[in-house]
Amino acid sequence: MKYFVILIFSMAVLAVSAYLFLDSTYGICVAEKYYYDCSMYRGFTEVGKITLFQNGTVYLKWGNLSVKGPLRCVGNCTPGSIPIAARGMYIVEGGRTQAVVFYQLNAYIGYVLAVPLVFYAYALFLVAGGKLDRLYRGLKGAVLAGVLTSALAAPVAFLNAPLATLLLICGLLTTSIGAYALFKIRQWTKSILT
Amino acid sequence: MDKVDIDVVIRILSLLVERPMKKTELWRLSRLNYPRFQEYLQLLVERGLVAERDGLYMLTERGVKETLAILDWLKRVFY
Repeated sequence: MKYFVILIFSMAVLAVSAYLFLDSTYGICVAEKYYYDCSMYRGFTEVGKITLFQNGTVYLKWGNLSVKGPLRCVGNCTPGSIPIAARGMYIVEGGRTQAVVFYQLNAYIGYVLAVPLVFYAYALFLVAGGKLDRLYRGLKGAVLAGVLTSALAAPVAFLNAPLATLLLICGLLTTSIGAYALFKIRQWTKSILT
Repeated sequence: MDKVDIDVVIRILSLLVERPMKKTELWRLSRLNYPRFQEYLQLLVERGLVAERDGLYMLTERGVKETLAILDWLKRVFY
């Protein structure tokens, strides 16, 4: 597969990932003894609160809407039983609420993913020129973008494992091919100078 | 020269593969200070990759062949 195609594909994966993290709703639930206390977020903004009791009683507050009633659950009532289109529901045990901060990564990661995205865009911009110096600089930019993408796959793995796998594949592919090409070009140039 | 910066060599070869240039223009586009630019130009002339004719610096036949080979290989990787 040509490197240009890998760069465009990686950029698309990063753009979709960043959009998903910024736009989708996610919930962070603290599991107490008899109920789950969930806060629903979109980015940094809290958009609702859901309290789900083991017996199926649910208390939902979403914007101006406030509802309390029974929820028909299959088996035990868990946050997964709540029929809302959330990207992820993260459950934290009551005694370990400091872990909530970790799941707030959801709000930040979309912006952080924009960093390698900018490097990919910069590399593609340079490569489109087709001149030797620009191709070489594009290669360096792409390697940097690949390293950043691979590194960011680690925190994403805790929030969305399939997306993290895709990011890791894109990052490693970009880095390995780019680093090999850089190494070869540098060796080649050294050899013509001796 | 103690240590050759490959980035600089590639930049100068890339400029000269486009067209021959006067020394001052090549210096300006190389984004190097003058003593450093002189060192690299001298290195490339000594290695038979660049030559001067009628006040213009250009790639030699070997310089063109090697630079285009690198460029073609890079293009094959990318496109």
